[in-house]
Amino acid sequence: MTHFQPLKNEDGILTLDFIFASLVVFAFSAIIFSFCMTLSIVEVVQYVSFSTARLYSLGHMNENEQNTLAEEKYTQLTTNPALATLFTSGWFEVRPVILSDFNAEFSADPSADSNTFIGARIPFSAPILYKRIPIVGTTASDPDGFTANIQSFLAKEPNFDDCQSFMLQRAGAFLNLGTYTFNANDVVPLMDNGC
Amino acid sequence: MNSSQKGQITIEAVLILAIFVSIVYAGSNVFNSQQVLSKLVEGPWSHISGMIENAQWGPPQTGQSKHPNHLGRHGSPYGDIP
Repeated sequence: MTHFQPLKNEDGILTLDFIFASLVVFAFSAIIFSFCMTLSIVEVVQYVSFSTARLYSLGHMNENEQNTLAEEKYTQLTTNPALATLFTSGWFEVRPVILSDFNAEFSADPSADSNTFIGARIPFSAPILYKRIPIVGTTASDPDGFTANIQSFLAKEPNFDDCQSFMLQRAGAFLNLGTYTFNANDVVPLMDNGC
Repeated sequence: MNSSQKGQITIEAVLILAIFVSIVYAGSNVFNSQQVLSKLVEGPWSHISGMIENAQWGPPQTGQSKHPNHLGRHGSPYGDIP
């Protein structure tokens, strides 16, 4: 019969090792999973922004109509049952789309003709990437720090109002030449398929 | 009575436990103070968000001037000039 020597008993060491290894493996798996999910959803939201910008770019009666069409598309896509779960689960968040001219923000050279940063911007955040893991710590100093603007710039076609004001402006320029004599109020802009 | 060694294992276990907890606590402090995990996730995110916004590897603010929409776009039957 062997004498019981508890200090030399190493039976539990494997359990201890397993617990620590499990923690590390779980932590890294969770981080990699979060990044994979985030990058996948970014692609999905990128398409939503593209589709929204496409509707915003099309000509219509006025800018409000262009905005309304784009916002309807954005709402339709983000509330679709296939996607809505992603944005209500708490893992990812999208805020209302911003339809605007972003040229002032992007222009590198004021003299350059770069009038292309007009389109849709979706503020996106990924709270899934913020994790508090025991012993190891947190993945970020700011829980709301994982944000990005997902945007598509497809420019914007002139709408009916734009064309009308352009033509009236042109008529005024003709009048200012002094060569022609007509009443500016009698000018009727006629458009065939655009400006 | 003094030669009895009953209870020694308990004392040893408590000491080992104290050392183990101290090591874990110190290790946890090092991880937290040096923001090891934060650098692993929050650091790359700055570059990833720049890539998402501007298709440029770097923080979003620095990549705005290099956005691909700045590139001149033109077509030519001769293709790209070498």
